Amino acid sequence: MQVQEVADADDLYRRIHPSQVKDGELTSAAFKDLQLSVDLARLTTPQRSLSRHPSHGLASITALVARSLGQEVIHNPLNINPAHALVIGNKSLATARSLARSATWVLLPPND
Amino acid sequence: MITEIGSSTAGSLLEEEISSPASSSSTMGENFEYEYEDQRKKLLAVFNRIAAFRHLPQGWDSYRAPQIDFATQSVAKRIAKMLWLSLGTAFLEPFVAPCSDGGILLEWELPKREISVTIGQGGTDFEYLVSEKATDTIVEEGATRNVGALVTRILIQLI
Repeated sequence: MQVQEVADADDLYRRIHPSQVKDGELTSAAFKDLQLSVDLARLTTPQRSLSRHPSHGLASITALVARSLGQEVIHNPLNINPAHALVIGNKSLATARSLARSATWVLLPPND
Repeated sequence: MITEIGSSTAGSLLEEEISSPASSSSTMGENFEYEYEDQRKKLLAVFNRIAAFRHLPQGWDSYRAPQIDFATQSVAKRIAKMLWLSLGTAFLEPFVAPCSDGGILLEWELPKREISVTIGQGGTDFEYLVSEKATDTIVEEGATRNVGALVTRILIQLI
């Protein structure tokens, strides 16, 4: 599996657990992770990203926003998920909140 | 910024006991009884939401999220209870969510401001953020290991 360059313009998908949604809005709780797993959108589809997790929603952030917040964004392909990427870096509450504010819904969780 | 004063412990929290925020309700009128019961229900609702996190398995966020451990849950409840005891009928239920790093997020929405607090995994490290709702501007942020200092910062915003 070839590791690809992640461009600033790349969209990154992040699955969202329903408990991390407040009144339909994304919260910082979903982005509080030193090594935040995401999918490189151009290497997958929303349906594929959610295929094994039907109770979750799917949100999108851009690599540019993550980098502007001091995060490193790298492609980290896995055997089971070639689109896997990581947003690496300490995420203060303010950083996690900025990521949540910048994120847009691709697919809402089914119960929301 | 929140100044570092000392470290917190979760062990002293009385998990299930919710005593009255007033010293004695027997001398109060009926209205107090109703208000107290209403406030007690609000605190219990917060406790129950936090307690429900114990059912989240390893990897609950579909990635590598750890379970929300007992110490983290206990400290979240302790903070809610300290606020409840201080605020009485003015107690506001926070939004409560599990964080993907094993922590817990508490958020209060006020008319003009939003207060966010994270309790780190293990219940010893806290972050605090106040922002203006209209402009999304951060008014204050900080980190501490002292639960008393954290609650004071929240109370300053809530009162």
